[in-house]
Amino acid sequence: MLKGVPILPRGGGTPHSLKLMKESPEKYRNYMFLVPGMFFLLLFTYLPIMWSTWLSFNRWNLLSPQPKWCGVENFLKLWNHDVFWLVMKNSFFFVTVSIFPTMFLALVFAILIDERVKGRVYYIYSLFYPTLIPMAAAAMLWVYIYSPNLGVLNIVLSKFGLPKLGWLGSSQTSIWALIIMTFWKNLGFFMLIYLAGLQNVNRELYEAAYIDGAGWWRRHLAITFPLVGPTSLFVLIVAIILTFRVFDQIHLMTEGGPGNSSNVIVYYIYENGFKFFDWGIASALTTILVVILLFLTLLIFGLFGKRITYTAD
Amino acid sequence: MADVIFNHVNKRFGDFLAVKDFNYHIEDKTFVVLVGPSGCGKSTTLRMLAGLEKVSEGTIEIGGRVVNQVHPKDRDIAMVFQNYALYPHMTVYKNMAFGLQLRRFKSPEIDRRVREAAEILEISDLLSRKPRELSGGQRQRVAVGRAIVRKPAVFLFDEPLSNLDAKLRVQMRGEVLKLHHRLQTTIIYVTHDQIEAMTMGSKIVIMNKGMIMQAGKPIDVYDRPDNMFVAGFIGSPAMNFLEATLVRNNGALWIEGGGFRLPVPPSKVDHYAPHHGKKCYFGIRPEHLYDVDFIKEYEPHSVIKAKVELIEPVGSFVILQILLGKATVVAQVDSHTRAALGREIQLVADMDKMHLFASEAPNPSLNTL
Repeated sequence: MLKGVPILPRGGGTPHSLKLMKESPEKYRNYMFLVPGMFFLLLFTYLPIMWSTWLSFNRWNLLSPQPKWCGVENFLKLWNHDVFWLVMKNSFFFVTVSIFPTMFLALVFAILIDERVKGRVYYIYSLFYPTLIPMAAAAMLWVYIYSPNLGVLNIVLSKFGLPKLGWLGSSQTSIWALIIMTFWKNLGFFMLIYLAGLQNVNRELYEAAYIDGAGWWRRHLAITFPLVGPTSLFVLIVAIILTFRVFDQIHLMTEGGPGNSSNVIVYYIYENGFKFFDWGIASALTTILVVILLFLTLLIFGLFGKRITYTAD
Repeated sequence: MADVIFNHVNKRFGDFLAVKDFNYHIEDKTFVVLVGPSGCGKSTTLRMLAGLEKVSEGTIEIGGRVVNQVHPKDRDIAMVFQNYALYPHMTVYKNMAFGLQLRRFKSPEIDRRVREAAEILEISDLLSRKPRELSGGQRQRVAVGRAIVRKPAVFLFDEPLSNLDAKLRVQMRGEVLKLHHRLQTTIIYVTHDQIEAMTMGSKIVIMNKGMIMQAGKPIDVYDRPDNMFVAGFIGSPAMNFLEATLVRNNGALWIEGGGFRLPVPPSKVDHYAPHHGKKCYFGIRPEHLYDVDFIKEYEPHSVIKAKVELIEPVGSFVILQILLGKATVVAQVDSHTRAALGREIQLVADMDKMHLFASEAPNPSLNTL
């Protein structure tokens, strides 16, 4: 074959190589726009994931200051460690118990606000305000609320003749206390996303259903819930990721205690990495977290992605 | 029987009076079109009838029953919305069945009604599709289908064809009319399109600024508009209005204005004589101005001469814009006209079709004064 002579496809037409040459300047220019974003994504997301995944197969702690390949040793250690299973149980419990009430109430509040209830602005501000407060301040506030003797919550409980609880100090209640606080912190954020999602639902649909005889509940069951599907999918995935990543409030309010009763995966990563200085184990935990999040995201998209009705269709 | 009676109905939004003293009786089985420009209150009136807006003052009766406090579902009405309002996540079948399910109809009855309506509207093959898989015209049919399965006493249409292209709109216009003929129910239809109003309504109600300006048969409204608003709104191209004065000369009555002097025809002299000396608006429709070349006999005094400013050939006729004095006048003349841009043309005004309106607002017709 002669070098430099493009092979002409059978039946004529423009050879592929010539087509590429024709299109390439614009094509490459378009790709160039992605370079800065891709560079930082690669540097701060993909490379750390790859680095951490590689580290999770290495022994790297105070006794072994240089990373040393050890296969799946770190994962086996975790597998055989009771605390790991407690942490996993706590993490899934935290996610499951906090997400669905948050999503449901966020949607209900968004619907009420969208229907222009009286004091609409007040509701928006009061529900969204916790999202704006720094987590450290919010944690301190809730430490006070949960305080056994001076705390507002116990004072209220005792007014109703109920026993005072050591909210953060008891292994029975500590995770619940954190879930309630996280629910309070996230509700406004998800409510706002739902409120935006509701703007895409055509008002005439509600009027048509109203004339058809659908009551408030039926209207929302038949129209709102299915049509905010894309928003719910987004909220669900974001909520799962955010909730799996809870750290600040745990660090500030319970330090995972008492007795690891409120310890969750990210705090456990922190403990292993920065308290026990076992970076190999911390990396293995990080890899597990990434795999869980990836799996859940793909599962949710697989289950619901195609069933969702996009109102703009 | 489902007469619809509006008794002095007002609708307020805060301080703003959107519908003022709407007082009208719609007889059973008639096709009534509410027409007017945007913001005239026509949709608000329909929505009050549907129960989507509360009536501020007055009463609305459907079939002899005051419905002000009656829930929309119990008013025996069905509404077709401007944007179809089809549930995007439901199939066509479910969209049509939804209202019946809410009314707890039994499944075989729902099925029978849906299939019957689908057959009438020729959408039987679309029942398993979702709205996004339908064209605009098909969506419109489904929206109508959803209304007819209910077999209501009154159908309400809120600008249902405004999202369709021109050709499809003409086609759907005919289909809605055929449907009315077939169903024999009262239809109240809102539109801003006066051609739709003229072609569809057995009665039309022209509204402006929340008030009824005139109501009646389309041809009556066209021939005898009560005021300048109606005269200008109904008819396309719109009627020409020229400032003028009624003058008497040698026993005859003349209309004089900038660049023209036209005789009042003998049939109308008695009518307008009491107004001589008054300033008024002279109204003549573009289709009542003829190119002199195409008229065999005409009254020589009814000829106006003016310069052609614009020629718009439409095919079956030509629209001319001519400069008469300082005013621009539109004429709809024969498609073979020899009118040329910048040249003078002679037009004959059919003075039997002329109108005169008082110069003071609300510019009532001098016929009705």
